[in-house]
Amino acid sequence: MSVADIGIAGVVPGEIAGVRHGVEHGVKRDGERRDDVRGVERDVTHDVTRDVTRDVADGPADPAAVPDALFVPRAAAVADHDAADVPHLSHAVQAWLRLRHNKTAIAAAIVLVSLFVVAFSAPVLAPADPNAQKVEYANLPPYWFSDAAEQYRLIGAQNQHFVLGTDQFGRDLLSRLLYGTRISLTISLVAAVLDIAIGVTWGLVSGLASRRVDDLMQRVLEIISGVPSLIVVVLMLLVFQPGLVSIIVAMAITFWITMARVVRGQTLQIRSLEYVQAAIVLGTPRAAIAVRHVLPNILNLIIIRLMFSIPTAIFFETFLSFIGVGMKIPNASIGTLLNDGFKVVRIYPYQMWIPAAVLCVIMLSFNLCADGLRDVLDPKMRG
Amino acid sequence: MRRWLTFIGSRLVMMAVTMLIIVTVTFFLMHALPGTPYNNQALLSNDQLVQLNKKYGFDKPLLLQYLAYLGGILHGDFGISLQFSDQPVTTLMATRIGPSIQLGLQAVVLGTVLGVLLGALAAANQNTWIDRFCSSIAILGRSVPNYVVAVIVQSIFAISLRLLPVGLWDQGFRSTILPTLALSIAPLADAARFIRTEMIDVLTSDYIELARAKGMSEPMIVVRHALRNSLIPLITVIGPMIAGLMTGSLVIETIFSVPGIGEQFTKSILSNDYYTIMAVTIWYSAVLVEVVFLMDVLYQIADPRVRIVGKEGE
Repeated sequence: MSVADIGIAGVVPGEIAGVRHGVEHGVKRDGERRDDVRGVERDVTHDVTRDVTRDVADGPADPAAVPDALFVPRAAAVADHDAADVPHLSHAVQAWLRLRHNKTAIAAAIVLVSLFVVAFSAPVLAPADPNAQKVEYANLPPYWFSDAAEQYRLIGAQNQHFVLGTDQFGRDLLSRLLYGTRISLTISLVAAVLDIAIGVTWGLVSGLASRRVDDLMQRVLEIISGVPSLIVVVLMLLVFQPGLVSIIVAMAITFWITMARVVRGQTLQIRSLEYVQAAIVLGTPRAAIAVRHVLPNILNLIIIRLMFSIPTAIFFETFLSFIGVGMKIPNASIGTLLNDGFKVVRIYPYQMWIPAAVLCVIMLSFNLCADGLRDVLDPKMRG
Repeated sequence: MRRWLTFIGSRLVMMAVTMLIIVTVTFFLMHALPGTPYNNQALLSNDQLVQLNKKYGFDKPLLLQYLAYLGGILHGDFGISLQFSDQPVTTLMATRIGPSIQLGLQAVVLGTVLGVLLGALAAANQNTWIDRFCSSIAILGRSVPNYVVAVIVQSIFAISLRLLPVGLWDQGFRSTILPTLALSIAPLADAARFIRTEMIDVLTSDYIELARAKGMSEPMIVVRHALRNSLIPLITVIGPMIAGLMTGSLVIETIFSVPGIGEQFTKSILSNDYYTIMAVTIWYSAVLVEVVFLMDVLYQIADPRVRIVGKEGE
């Protein structure tokens, strides 16, 4: 039986303030004079609200005024949905039920998952060694291009079938693209881990720490965000040798800033709530407060933020490789493929447009997923 | 008034500290770089290296070099470019700041204006095909890297149609059109998304309901009330937007051979040109720090609800 059923004679507790208010006035005018008497006794001006509160707490002052017949539990109507009738669904399940209807987001998620599966099975799927050069097969178009057969025949490669063609060193572009996608997706995972490990922790600590520590941590953030992150990354890459590890180290310096800010802001809000204040007063350790009270409440925002920061990380890697400080030669990433392809885009357009298309699909899937998740997880943003 | 002074004063101090730290970190990072900044270093004999180091002051203790550098900066002297025939970095950059600023401003203006239009259209027609169309453009804008956009517009308008120059900076405004277009994609997408969410929020608020109840026409509500109130928070994203543009300009300027700061930076990275790299880093940081500061002040003025300044004591 829910709270609503205990209400007096069908008056739902929520309505008491309003409805009973009217009742009291009515009673007064009816000449019962109950209030007036009490008013005289207490020698205060009429305070209807206070009387109502009293009445609710103690029950009516004069039980005889309300017939006993009214004090029966309300019969539950058939169509009456109260909280107990609805099966309890966990937050995640509810989110999934709503996300299910967002066809675009689901499609994007499927594309993403397939991309991850395909890219990470690159060693199995790739038809050739991505770095193996074979100069006599340089710059061959994909074998299914209309004029491809002729070109393959000219250099005596009739029995070769390069699905996406070859680059200037005769390397198989499909293999390079598979390995390159794997690098880009690896970077996306690392960015996510960094965002959580550094960003969320920083935000939580800053939000729950003392004023002075918080101030200090905020100043540090301000200084780091004073430099455009690309510049920081480039400087770091100049100092360390280019390569995947350096890109990751460089990202560790800047990529968690926005996350830290968002988490801190939310933490401050939640910290001011009464139940958290109570926990603090009761001497709950800060770490426990962070994990038990704050984190569950900001999980949604963290997930949304995460989905938006991942594409940025992928972008960055391609940018770095594009300006020549990213991945180490001869390893392929989508960025290096784009850079190589860009140099010959006039002559062999496929060398740039194919990796470009793959990059766009990755970015698009992440963004669509992020949008879908935001609509589902953040009720305020729901369109 | 006094609150304003303390607000601005403390922010200025903070900016100065930030800049000092940035300069320091960049300086020591630069000197930790592997390799020397000289051309053909393999051909240089030891004696020549010693002499070159002496000429550029690299033989002194690091701390002295640092102090000398700091002192120089205060006088507007950012050292000498090691790559471009010993020109002072300041002269080198002076000619390049113009094009970069022009491109950046044009892109910000074009991007935000179009973005605000798209976002407002989407929000006013929420969940219709107009909304879906505008939102799709915004998502595409976020998903397609600006250098891919650059190559696409370059191939279409410059190479196939021959309407606009392929690159360089020699045809006045005509040269700026394509790079601006490519560069404005990111701010456009950002602004559109931001305004859409902001405006949907505003459109469901009580005072809009009141306006509706009073019989105000929907277009009037959107333009007079919703748009105006959604524009204020846009100020807060302009800072990050500018940072994004700087990143973008590195590549865009290289693709279109624009003689700007970004192109200079890319070049100096590839040739270990210490002083130029440092100067560009400092320049970018200074611009960003300043824009963020200006936007904070502007926001304080524009939105009375967030006004920390002047709240107490009045």
